[in-house]
Parts: sequence; C-alpha cells; structure tokens
Amino acid sequence: MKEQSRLLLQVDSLKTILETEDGVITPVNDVSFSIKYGQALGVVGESGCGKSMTALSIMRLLPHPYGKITAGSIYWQDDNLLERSEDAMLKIRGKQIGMIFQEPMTALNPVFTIGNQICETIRFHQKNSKEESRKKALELLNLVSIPDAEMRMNDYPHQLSGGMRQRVMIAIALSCRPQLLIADEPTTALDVTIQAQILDLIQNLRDEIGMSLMLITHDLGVIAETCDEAIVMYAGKIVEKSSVALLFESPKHPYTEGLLKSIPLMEDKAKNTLHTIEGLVPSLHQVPQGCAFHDRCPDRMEQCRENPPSLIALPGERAVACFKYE
Amino acid sequence: MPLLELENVTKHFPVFGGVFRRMVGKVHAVTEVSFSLEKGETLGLVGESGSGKSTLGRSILRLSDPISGSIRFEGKDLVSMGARELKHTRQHMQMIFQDPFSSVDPRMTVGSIVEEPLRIHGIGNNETRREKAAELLEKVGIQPESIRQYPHEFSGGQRQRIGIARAIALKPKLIIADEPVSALDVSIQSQILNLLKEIREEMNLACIFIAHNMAVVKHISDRIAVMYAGRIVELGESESVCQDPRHPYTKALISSIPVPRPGKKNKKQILQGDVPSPLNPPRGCAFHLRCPHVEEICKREIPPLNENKVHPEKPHWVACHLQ
Repeated sequence: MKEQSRLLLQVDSLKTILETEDGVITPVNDVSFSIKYGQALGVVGESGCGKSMTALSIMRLLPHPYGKITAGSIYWQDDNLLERSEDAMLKIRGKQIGMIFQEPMTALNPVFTIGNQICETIRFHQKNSKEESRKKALELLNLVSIPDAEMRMNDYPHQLSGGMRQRVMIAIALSCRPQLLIADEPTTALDVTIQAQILDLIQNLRDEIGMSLMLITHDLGVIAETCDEAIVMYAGKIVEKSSVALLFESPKHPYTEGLLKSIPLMEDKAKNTLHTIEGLVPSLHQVPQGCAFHDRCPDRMEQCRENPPSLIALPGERAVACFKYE
Repeated sequence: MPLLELENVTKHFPVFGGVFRRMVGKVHAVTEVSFSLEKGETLGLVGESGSGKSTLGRSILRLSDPISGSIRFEGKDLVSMGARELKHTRQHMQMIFQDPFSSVDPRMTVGSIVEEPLRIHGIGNNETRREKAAELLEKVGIQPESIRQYPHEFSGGQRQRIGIARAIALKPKLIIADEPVSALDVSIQSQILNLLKEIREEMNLACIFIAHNMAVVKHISDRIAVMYAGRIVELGESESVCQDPRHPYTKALISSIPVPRPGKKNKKQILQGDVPSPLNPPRGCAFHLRCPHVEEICKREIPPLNENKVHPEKPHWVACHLQ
C-alpha cells in the first residue's frame, strides 16, 4: 500500500511546439499533472486541445522534426524522460509505458500476422525463445478475450473486426505488463456495445495487474465510468483538474460546465432544446488573447480578455484556471 | 396519406470473386424494411456500423440502385420511377451527409455550393439565386459575406451548417440526415442539433435522422427505429423505446451508453461477441449469437416485427420471439 501515494509519472510545466506550414503552434502549453500508482487519469477536451500531443510528448513520439518539447520536465518515477537517449526510450516504451491508439487499423502492420506482432514486442523487451513468446502471446489473446485465440494468432489485421483489432492492440500494449497504459481515444472508432466491452476489459486488467491508466477521450461519459482523476484541456492548456466525482458534481470552469450541459442524455425529456456553448472551438493557429475561452464564455469579465488566468487551487485537491475564483 | 411509405425494402449488394468474377455471395445490407413517415415527423434510425442504416437512407433517395420492395413518396412509387420524374421528385427530398469535409466540393465557393440545387432545378436567375444563397447562409448562422469563401476556410461545424443550407435550398418536404453530428465536437454537436430542430419546425420538414448515438437520436426524433443486421428490430415512439425498450438488443444498446455520472457504472449489460457479418448473417434471429435470453426458436426462425400491445395507446413494434 505504501506505493499508492508515490508518483508514477509527473509532468511539470510541459511545453510542446509544432512547426506547421502556417506557422508554429503550441499544442501543449504549460501543462502539469501527475499520475499515482494504480490511478486512472482521464484527459478530456475537444479536437485540437492538445490532449493527444501531451501523450505523444510523454512517449517522446512527436512527429520528427516538426514537433519539439521546449520546456518542462517529465519524470517517470525518478527519471526525467526528456534527458533520456532514444535508445533508453525504446526500452521504456512498450515495456514500462504501453500505448494504444484510436485507429487500430493503422496502428497494426497489415503484412504481419497478429501473433507475429505480439511476439515481436515480447521478444524485443524480454529475452524469450520463439516458443515461449508464442505461448505468452496466446495467453495475452486469451486475456483480452479473443475467441479461438490459437487460430486467430495466424490471422492478419484485415481479417479482424474493429473491436478485435483494438483487443489485439491492447494485448500488444500489455505484453510486457507496463505500469502505465496510455490509451488515446481507444473506443472512439468503435460501436457503443463494443466500446462497453473494451472499457470493461481495460477495467478488469487494471484490477488484475494493478496498472495505472491515462485515458484520453472527448467523451465525458467514458471518463465518468473509468477514471479517478480528470484534467480538462482547452486550446493547449489545462483549464480544470479535479477528482472525477467532484468534477461531475460541481464543475468549476465555465467550459467544463458548458460541456457537461451540452451532452444529450437518455433521461432528458425528448426533444427539448440542448444547451450550447456559443462560437467555435479555437484553432491552435489563432488562440484568442487572454483566456482562450473568453469569447465563448457566458461569465466573461474585462480581465479575461487581457491576461491568461493561471491554475488556482481550490478545496478538495482541485484546481481551475478562471478569474471567477480569484 | 403518409409522406413516405416503405414496404419490404431490401438491398443486397452482390459480391464477385474467383477467376470468372462470378457472384459468390451477397451483402445483406437492408432486408425487408417497412415503415411510414408523416409530414413534419422525424424518425430516428439507430444502429451500429454495418446495421444498414446508411444504405437504407441512401436507398430512399435511390442513391443506391437497384432495390426491391416499394418506396412511395406522396403516393408515387420511387422504385419504378423513370429518370426524369425521379429528378423532379428529388427536389422534395434532400440529404445531409456525415462528413462535412468530403461532402462539399473544395473548389466551389460556399455561395455556389448552396446555389447548386437551385441551378440544377432551374429555379430563378443568377441574381435571385445569389440572393437566395446569402439568405440561406444567414439562416444557418453563417455570415452572408462569406459567400465567396471556400470550404477549407471553415471548421467542421460551419461546414455542416453549409451542408444544411444546401439541403434546405429547395424547400424540401423530406430531409435524410446521415450521421450529421457524429464527426463534430460535443460543444458544436449541440449547436447543430438545435439548428436542425429549429429549421425542421419552421419549414415543417419530415426528417429521417440516422445516427449511432441513441441519446442524440432521442433528442430529435418523434419515433425511433432500431436496426440490427439490416432489419428493424424495434420501432416506436421515442419515449417508449427509450424508457421501455423491448428488444434485448435495444436494451443492451441503451445500457452501453457511457453516462456522465460517476458511480453509476455497475449496471451495465455487456454483450458478448461482435456485430454479425452482413455477408453471412446467422440463421434465425440475427441477434441470437449475442442475446442473453436466446432460446431454440431464435436459432431457427426469423422473428417478425410484431406490434407490442403492452401500452395500447403507444404503438410499439418489436421483432423478438420472446415478447
């Protein structure tokens, strides 16, 4: 139990830039958060808010040479990942930190069987014989509940359905029993009934092997059902940080509040008018001055236009970046 | 007379294979679908990928030929209609597509995109069409000054607005909206849903709203039809389908929706297995392989869509042997 309070991952003032044809953008701007042993952190936000770039920064998988981390630190246990060599990162990726992506079709190699692809990861990180790794791969496929695993080992990715492919991705990510799984929109491309299966699977695996989770999604419902802590991102910055229970009970940032109210719910009266957040999701090429949300905010004040608010600590170990709480 | 009436609409795509490109099988996209739609009514069509909901939507506009069965629009059968008459009838039926990035021509200005339907049907002259386009854009919340801009200058939500303006340009009686909000962010999704509702009421449009998200569909529909493996498995008023689902698939679909309330996570009903392949649908009820209540009869016979008489005042049809 003593490990519970220790930090597994600590990201501090992380800043990542991307050079694009239309100029330099900052998809991750002064982002700090941490993940404890066994904890599940949800990262929520709309397209272009920097949530995926944060994950890629941690894995040091930013598009080369356009993406660069320009400030901050990423501590993995006691190691600053930003000071690690590429060779050392290869040993961490997949072994200590596993990652699954949104589109399982593009993340798997179409010309190798799935058995092959799982074995590859196992053999890269652990010195196993071919037979041993094959046996392990089979165990993993059973673990992620793929039926007829033995036969499926010889299948190519195109022979599997979307849900099955995502299971294979999870099997690969789990092959070395990582301490942290980073899942970037793992269920967005899947049907709801399949999404429920995959989320249930991730939950069971967490209970079984005690892994921490960083779950990136735009779906607040998924966060509510899977995570302990959550961060809300908007235009490259964290606007709210809270335990999941408090976040949904009393959202503090006007953006979080608006987002929660905009979700159509099954228990709503049919055909009533939905709450909306006016305006558009800002492009990272034109982040508004001051608070990036000010032009859409129902509670905006004069100062919101001028200065960006910084994160303010609130009771209940939560924080919000809004002048309303100063 | 209902505005639109479908009877046993079936669409099977042939699959060719082998050295001689012979037909080796059929994709059973839509099988024996029947329903009717009144003026001004909205029917939500829900289902997972591959359930045939998009094919059904396209079939109604005869965008995917040939089909069997009959589709009557204001009493006239679309299936047997000749090209000229079909073009004329299509004025009254328009479509909104899912992907706002690929459903508009990137080399046309926004103005000419919205004007195009008017031009095709020879309505007005250049000048009045231009005016009309500006008026339509304003109606959907796009600045009329943007008439000379190109689609890439707009975000996804704005492009969807342009798609809506185009669809309502001819004052249609029926709109088929195929997943119009699934590609949009949550905060934009609610804007577009509200816009669709507003326009629908103002123009007294009938609408077939296709989506995979049950909560979204519920918000906009008078009635909901749930599709599974090409067939309608449940059909009824929105409230009654959502509050009192009868088909085990509908129940699972509703319980799978993630709820933004922490702590509510334990009563999920998790289905085993995958959506069946439409190339080779299982015998009997297509859902029997995943159904928690499966019985012998489900494996043999396809259940008909029968009226459920639990609430006589609310018509509700279910295709399940166990009802």
